[in-house]
Amino acid sequence: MNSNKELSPRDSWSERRSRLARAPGRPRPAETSAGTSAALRGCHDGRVIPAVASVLVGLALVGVAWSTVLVVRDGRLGDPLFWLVAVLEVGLLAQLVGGSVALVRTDRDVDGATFVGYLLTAVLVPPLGVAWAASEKSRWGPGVLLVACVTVAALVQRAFVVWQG
Amino acid sequence: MRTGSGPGRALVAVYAVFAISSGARSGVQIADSFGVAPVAYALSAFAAAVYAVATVALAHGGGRARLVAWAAVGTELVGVVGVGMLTVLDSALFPDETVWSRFGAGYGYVPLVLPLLGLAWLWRTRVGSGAAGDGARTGSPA
Repeated sequence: MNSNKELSPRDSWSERRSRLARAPGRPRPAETSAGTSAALRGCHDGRVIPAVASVLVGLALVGVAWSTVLVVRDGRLGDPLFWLVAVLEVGLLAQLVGGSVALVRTDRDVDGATFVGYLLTAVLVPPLGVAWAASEKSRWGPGVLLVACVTVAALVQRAFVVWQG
Repeated sequence: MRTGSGPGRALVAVYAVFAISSGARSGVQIADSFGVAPVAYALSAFAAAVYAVATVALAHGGGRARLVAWAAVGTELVGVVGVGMLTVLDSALFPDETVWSRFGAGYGYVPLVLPLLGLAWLWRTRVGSGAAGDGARTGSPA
């Protein structure tokens, strides 16, 4: 992952996008509606995205802890863990929409395909995890959600790193 | 015991994660910059395919699927050890990361541990083994 940057200094997708943004006929967003768009950009870049990512990683880690306890204590998948994962999923959906909007708005060179790829994959993991865990009537039902929550935490973290550039 | 239930349920989940993430990664790599590191990116795609096959075979778990799972997990072990060795010995061969580079260090060495768990699980749940407890002897007709 890291060496990718050294090899292809500019990802072609983001290069195309930033070239588009700099095309003479197309005014930069900041020039069109300086006040609001700059405020929004500052908002997304500066505070909202890190905050959302932290909250979601935190939720996912609560899910990790919770399901670990259930696995260790030979528990079953019950309502509380299910609802935690449901809340996590709502947050991930919001992050996907908000992140995509922020990606379109930002002037920075962000590897958009990878960023959205991580956000989209993160959205898919909890429903698949719950579906796969639901029919398991042993401690390994929570075990599946343990895997799902670790994965979500890792994906959100990676998406955030890509966003920071 | 079926390979897709009990602890195997969680194992299949880990396999699915690797199938999806390495698949998505190789998709982005190949679509974006295949010329930069064709060997590494083709290998990423191959690894993704191996994980996908292993996921489905382990989830299914009966008869022929079990044989497919043995083959896929075995291929995975050969892949991660072989590619791991090559990336350590001759890094020029794989200028960009793959899921198996440096024995899966980029993924917390899970790619190295996973095939060992997979093989152990297939062995434990083999037809005729009493070790897995319930249902091991009865097996499961695909």
